[in-house]
Amino acid sequence: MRITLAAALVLQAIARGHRHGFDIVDVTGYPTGTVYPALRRLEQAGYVRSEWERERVASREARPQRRYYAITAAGTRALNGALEPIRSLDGLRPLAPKPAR
Amino acid sequence: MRRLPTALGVIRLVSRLVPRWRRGEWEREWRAELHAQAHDDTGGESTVLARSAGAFADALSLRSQAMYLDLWLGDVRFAWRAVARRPAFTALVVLTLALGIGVNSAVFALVDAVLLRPLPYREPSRLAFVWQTLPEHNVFDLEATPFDYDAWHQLRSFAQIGLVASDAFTLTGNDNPERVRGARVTASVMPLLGIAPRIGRAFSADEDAIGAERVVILSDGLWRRRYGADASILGSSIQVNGAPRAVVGVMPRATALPGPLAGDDDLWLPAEMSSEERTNDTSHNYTVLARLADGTTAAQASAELEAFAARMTAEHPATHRGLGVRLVPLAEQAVVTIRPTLLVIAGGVAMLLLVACANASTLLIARASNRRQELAVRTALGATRSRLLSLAITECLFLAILGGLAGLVLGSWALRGLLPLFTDTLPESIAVDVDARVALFTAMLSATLGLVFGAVVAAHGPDDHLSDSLKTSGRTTTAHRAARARTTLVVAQVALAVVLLSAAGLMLSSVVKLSHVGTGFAADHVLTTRLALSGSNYSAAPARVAFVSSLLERLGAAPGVQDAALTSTIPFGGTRGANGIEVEGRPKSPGEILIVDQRHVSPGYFQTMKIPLLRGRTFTTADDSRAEPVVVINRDMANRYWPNADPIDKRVRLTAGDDSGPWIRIVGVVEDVRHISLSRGAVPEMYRPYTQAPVATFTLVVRTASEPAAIAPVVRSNVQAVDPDLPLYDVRTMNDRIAASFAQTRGTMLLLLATAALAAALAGVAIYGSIWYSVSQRLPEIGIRLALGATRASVFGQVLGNAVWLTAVGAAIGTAASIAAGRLIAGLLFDTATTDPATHVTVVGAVLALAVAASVVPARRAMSVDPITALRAE
Repeated sequence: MRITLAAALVLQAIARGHRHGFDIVDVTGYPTGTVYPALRRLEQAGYVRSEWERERVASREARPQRRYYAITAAGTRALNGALEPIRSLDGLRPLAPKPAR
Repeated sequence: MRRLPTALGVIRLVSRLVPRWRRGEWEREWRAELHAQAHDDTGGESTVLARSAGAFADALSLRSQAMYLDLWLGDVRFAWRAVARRPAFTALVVLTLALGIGVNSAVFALVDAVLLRPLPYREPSRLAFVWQTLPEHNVFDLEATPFDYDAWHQLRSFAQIGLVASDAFTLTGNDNPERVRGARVTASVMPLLGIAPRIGRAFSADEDAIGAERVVILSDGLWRRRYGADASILGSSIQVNGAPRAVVGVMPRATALPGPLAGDDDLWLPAEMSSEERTNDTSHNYTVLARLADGTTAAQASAELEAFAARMTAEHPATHRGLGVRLVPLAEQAVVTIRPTLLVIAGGVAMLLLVACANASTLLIARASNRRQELAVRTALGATRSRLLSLAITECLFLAILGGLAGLVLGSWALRGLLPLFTDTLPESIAVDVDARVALFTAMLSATLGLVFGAVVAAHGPDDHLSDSLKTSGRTTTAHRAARARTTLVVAQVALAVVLLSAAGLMLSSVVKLSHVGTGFAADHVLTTRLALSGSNYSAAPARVAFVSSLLERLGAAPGVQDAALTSTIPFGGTRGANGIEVEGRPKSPGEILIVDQRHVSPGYFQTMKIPLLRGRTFTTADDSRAEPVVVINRDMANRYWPNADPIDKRVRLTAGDDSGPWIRIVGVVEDVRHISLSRGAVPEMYRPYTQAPVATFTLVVRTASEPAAIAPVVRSNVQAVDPDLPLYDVRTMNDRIAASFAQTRGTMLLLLATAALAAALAGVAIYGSIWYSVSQRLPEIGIRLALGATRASVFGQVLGNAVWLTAVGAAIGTAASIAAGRLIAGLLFDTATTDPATHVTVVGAVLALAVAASVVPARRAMSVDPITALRAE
């Protein structure tokens, strides 16, 4: 799949340990209407996989089980590939301000 | 918290958009997040509601992901409903396809096992047989001599070369003496083929020469059957031909020697050749196998071999004049006898498949025309052409897959019926079964058929004249197109059926002619069994003669036995016993070799076999080793060498290279017999009295008063009364032997006949369907004609004429095609021309009769049309 900027950020968030939908929403600042479709596409492409939170953890915190996402090896490669062009920009000098006339 | 119920309501509503099979999980995920969010709400109550709004986009994304699957599942559901709604139609199509596919699966299993699968040796494409040839005598697979085998070691084209001498051995040592087939092989044979014992060791090079320790290797089958799969047999000794041999190995299961050597593999012995045997340049009794060197093609090896043979002829004119060589790759040799038959059969069943497909197409097109209104409504409601195509293909795929499954079942039944027809000619090492490859073939065939049918049906689907279809009675251009397609398909089916029927007819005529060929002897009520006098008890000739006379005397007096005799080579026994001879007084032209088949028989042989004596006398007990050597020759030999003279009292002698035996006087001439097969004419034969040439292996022939097979126990008990250690083997009635000699021709005939009968039945159904349909379409027209004064007989006649005309066109095309393709089958025929008028006339007549029979019912329907009803319907 083509990795959009939103999908790359969602992947990055999961890679950093933000594991459930609203957590990803919080950390990326994207609305749920962007994050969830991105998650579905990433999961179908095999870049993330999901599983249900353990029941014990959820009941201790008195809430329903959440769905947790984790990045796969293929996801890590795709993320690095998507970030590569952005990282390469780091080496460039900042643009010099235009000289005043 | 107040907003949570609203948000959950949104989720419930939106969840309807999510594909059903993901809905539960999807809802659960959203509820969990919203619950948790509502609990530790930090961003105000509106956050919960705002976030739930994203569920709509999420649901839509899942829906689009699932849409293609959904559409397809919908098509499958539709196809299933369409198929289940019309069980009779479905059953008809599935059965038709199953017939075509099943027979093809069965034949594929056979062709795959025999022709397509690589032989079970290392790099089998580099293996070859090396034969010597006598082109002047039409002999092209003469076994080699040890002298030539040794010489061929110099050839650079061969990486390895090995020698095999087929033999039979008698196993004794427990209560059950047994005769088994086996071979003496050089140490190079196993590594050359890439086979090795599964336990124990292979032979070593020093065992190629006589004098080494006497060893033996067992086949897996023999090891299990006779020695109870006992691994401790390694190193112990068993009695082979009355002498002990140490068992050094057991071969893996189903290991076999290639080509004509197949079956000679229960016992493996080292070559153990003496130095005289090793330099023998006249005994052609050794099969030579070679592995080509890397980078050498069969053609290059052949060229080097032939150049070498020419040099040998120049250097050894006495023994090598007229001798050629021939290199035959293993894969060709193994299937040389059955390949043409299999190809004809494969072609036959492929044609049956075409007929079945044409039949199914006719049915599907007829159904498509019936559904034009339904399809028109769908189009009007917005279905695109590609959607309708997808529907049609799914439905046809569905039918084809059902047909394939049924075909696989039919195929495994058919295979069970098929194999017994070819047991005598299939290489023994080959296992034929419905396995994964056959299943894959069937699956691919079914899928292809499904796609093709889908395309055919779609091509006859709705067109630009859709509005016509919406009218109740639309006889439109599409209907005409469908009618034309149906006519073409009927003609094609008739043509294919005629081709198959002609081929089956020609084979039938061959089999009938074969079974009427006179053998030259009376085969009824004759039991034959082979016997081998092995071991030290029989190493002296007088011991063999004594055994034989005592046995024949006992047998002659046994109840139920009319006559008993023996011969060294029995007709239809698979061997010839060819020998070179010299005729006294006939000038010997250089290099000329006179070949005569030699048989050693007991005095009663001609009487037992009822071979008529033409001149002179047969043998008596006085013709023993002390008397003058005598011989009885057959009519062919007499005509060939003494065309204008009486051969009685003329003399011949056997020659082998430069050696010649004593002169032998001819005392009688007997009638020719067919010896190799019914289709091969007589060859020169000479019979010698057994007492003057007592060979160790021979066949007993016993003429009985009643059913010959029933006398086998009597023969066995009489043999064991004389020597309990002698096994009988190859016990068969003479009629069995003759039947086996043309079993392949008969099997092919039966198979083609069954295939042709199925094709004809399908063609008959097609004619019936086509005529019935055209009568249904023309009912109003027929009504008008009857109202205008046409007679019912003329209507009846016209419908019949229509069917006959269609069939005649198909029959003409089919007959022309089968005559044109005649040479494909010519090699399988006996005494029957591919243009045989009787066969072709019968086939065409039968097909026309079939057409009349198939159209009687529709014609009667047309005849009985009530003009008023027909016109009112219009």
